[in-house]
Amino acid sequence: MTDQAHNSGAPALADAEMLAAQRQRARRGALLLGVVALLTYIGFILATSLRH
Amino acid sequence: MSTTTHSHAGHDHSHDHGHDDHHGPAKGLTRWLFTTNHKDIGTLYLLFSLVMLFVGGAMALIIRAELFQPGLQFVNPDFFNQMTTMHALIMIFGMIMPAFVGFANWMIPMMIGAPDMALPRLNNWSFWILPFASSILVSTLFMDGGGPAGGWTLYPPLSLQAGNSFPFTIFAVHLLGMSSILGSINIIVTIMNMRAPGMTLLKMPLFVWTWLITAYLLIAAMPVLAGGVTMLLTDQFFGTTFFQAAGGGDPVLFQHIFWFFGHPEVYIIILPAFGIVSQIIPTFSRKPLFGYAAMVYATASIGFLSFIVWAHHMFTVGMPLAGEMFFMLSTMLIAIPTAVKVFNWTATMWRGSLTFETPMLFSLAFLFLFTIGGFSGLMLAIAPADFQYHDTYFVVAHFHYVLVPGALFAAIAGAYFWLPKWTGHMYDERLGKIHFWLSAISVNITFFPQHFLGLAGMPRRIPDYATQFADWNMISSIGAFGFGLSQLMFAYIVIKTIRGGTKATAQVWDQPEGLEWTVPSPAPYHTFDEAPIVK
Repeated sequence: MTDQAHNSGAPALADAEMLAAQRQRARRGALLLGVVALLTYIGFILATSLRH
Repeated sequence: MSTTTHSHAGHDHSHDHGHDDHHGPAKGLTRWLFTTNHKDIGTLYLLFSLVMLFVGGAMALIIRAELFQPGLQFVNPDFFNQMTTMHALIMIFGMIMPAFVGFANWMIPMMIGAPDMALPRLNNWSFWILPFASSILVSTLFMDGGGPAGGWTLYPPLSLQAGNSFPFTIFAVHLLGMSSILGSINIIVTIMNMRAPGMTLLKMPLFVWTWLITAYLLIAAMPVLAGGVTMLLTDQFFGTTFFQAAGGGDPVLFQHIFWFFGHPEVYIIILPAFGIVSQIIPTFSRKPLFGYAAMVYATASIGFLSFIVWAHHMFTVGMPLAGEMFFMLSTMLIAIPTAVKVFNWTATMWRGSLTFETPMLFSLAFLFLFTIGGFSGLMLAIAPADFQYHDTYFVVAHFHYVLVPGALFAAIAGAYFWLPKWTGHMYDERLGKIHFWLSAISVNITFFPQHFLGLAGMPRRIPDYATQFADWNMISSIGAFGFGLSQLMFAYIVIKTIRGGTKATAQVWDQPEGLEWTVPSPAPYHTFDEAPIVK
């Protein structure tokens, strides 16, 4: 079971920097996944058209 | 789960932090329209799905009222077909999927120690597309010619014979898919990038794991559905003949495309349900989840296998024998990772210090009744037997066992489990248990007789039937009205809990596991301003 101790964590400034870096990586990842989804959609229609 | 050390899990907003995102919620309607807070958006998803439960449920009751006895009683056959189609579309895209996205929004950031979702504005968009799209879908019922009536599978050429509603239905499906894809992208990048220090992948709660795999499934499957319905649209309005035999197209091709999406969709719905149950059973067994790693691998296996079984939905179209064999055996293979899960939940309870609060009761019902749905799925997977069962009420009974006492019961269990964390109040346990027993009894009265009807040959999607089916249909309809009324009780309990009740502690339950139980109840508007350290 979880054993929790409420005491000090990382300094807030470091957390803010970490958060900004995490969000930056997340934005890049999201862009990549969005492109994959879009290419699947378009590629799927094109592939079916060519087969047709 | 690991030992955690953390600071300022929920923080006091009385002092200024100098960040724009540290303010409390806005006032009035703008809070809900423009919110980027994962808890607000989670609440919106959950409330929206509750409303849609009653919209889709009302349609189910129209269907069951008509089927109460043979002959045509209340509605004409075309409206009946609109009800079966809309009931499915609303329950799948408007109710159960948004419900699980709501759970994901509320719980994933708190479970991984993140302050919010990675892309909060995208999160807002993902939600608000949903009521817009659902309104378009429901509005088709009021259009000339009525709503779509060819079944939720939208098979051509039947779906192309719809009236004015056709392009609106396709547009709504596109938007619902877009909402799901945007939500999935957000969930993946949140889990992959926003975890607290020390929260390695194999320390994540199983609910997070199941959602990570579900989100990948959504990104792979949804664009295929979108492609399929776009081609339907071009066939109807732009002279293409993808699915029209007269122009050299193939209507069966649409079935392949639809089920390439449709089968993963089944797991998109059920995997988050597995995740919720995997959080609840250990809590009320007072034991860690048995076989955590095996559960993760089983979930991933189910996700992979879900993409190679689609044609078991269409054994009767006339496939080569090798194809039937492949899809039959690959379908049966899914029973293995699913059994791993069922055995692990059972082993978690073995010699546990069990208590039976409402979330546990719903989870246990899930375990028994989902397994019944799984077994009838195995029966349907046998290709030669499927020729007898196909398009009968046996299929209706099967997938309703998977989706209602399966997915919906898990969602209800999750709501009872986390409601004290969300609202800061304990729900009324006595009412919760009454709700459980009414639901568990009525759901079986509704759907179990449908197995008998199907085995006796009653076809699905018909408003009238031979008198030999009358008795079981009457019983099924009585059960359906009982189940529908029971869910009004659920809405009452939820509203009552939001408005007040006994104060919930931070842990709520007896020594639950996970970061979400380290923050106060109700969870503060902003959590984890400083990252918790997970050891």
